Amino acid sequence: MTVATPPLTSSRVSNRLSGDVFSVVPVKSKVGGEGYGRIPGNIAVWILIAAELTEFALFFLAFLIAKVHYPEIFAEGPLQLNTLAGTLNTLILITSSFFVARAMASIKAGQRKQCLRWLCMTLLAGAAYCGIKGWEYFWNEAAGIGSRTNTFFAVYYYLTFNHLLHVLMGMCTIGFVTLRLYFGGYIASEHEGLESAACYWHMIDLVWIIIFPLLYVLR
Amino acid sequence: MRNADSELSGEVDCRLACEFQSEVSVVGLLTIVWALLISMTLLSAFIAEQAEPSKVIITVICITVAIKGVLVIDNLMGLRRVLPVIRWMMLSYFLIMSSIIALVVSFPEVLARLTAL
Repeated sequence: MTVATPPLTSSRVSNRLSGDVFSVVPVKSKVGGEGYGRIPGNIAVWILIAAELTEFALFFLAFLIAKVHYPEIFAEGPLQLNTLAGTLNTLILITSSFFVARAMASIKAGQRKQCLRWLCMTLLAGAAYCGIKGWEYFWNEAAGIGSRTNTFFAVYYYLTFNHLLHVLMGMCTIGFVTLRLYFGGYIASEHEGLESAACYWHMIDLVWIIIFPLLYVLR
Repeated sequence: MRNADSELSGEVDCRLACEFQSEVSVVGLLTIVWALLISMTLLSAFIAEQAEPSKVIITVICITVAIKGVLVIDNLMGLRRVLPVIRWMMLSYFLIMSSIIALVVSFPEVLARLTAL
């Protein structure tokens, strides 16, 4: 069976011969050494991710405690929310995580331009998320829903606005690494900063995967 | 000399072909994972709009959350091939959180009793 091979260029050959392309690329890392078994990104981003996940876990527990003490309010709350906005935002965040994963695959393959393209698409997805969240807040306002309506909406605004701030912070981080990549700051064998930003973005997506059913689906 | 050159060229071609196949398979895997995540999200949204809440529905939704988490952590985040401590820390967060949500939503009176002042 023959396998179609892409056109060879000298840079592509040297790049390809420098190491494996995916996942087990022996990227230099300050943590965990080289190759299989290392930690993606740097230790600082993992401390940040652990702190953020702990913070959101406490929010989720507070939400659940409030839910069992005010069952009627928390049963009616999700019915008044804009499920379409919640669903669209979930689809957008999952797709943005896919874009980041493609960007990482591209940089590991030495395809800088493709990596830039995927990162720009991630930024666009982040902007779309913010736009839809803004629309959802206006939609709530028009329906007479605010953060002081009841306990459910107080927790809803606290959780979603906090998550929105994390998306904005993630966009700044992705924007920064995109600029660095544009100016040649990352190559196939050295892209720890880009990997750290990617891990942070995935964490934002993971948190939303829990928020979506908690606020919009379970009642 | 010419034989040595053609052997080397053959090796390079073979290695590039294998790596191209690997590249295609990784992109394919990412696309499949993305499609699965999208399908599960749409299923959850459909349940939110249509089904009446019951313990079975709650369990299905929480299992969906856990599966989505595992798919993102292992494939999009790429933690399947890294230090097991980090991977298990992330996976356990998802498995524990989705279990807590399922238990609390299914048996709210227990948590209400435990947290009553």
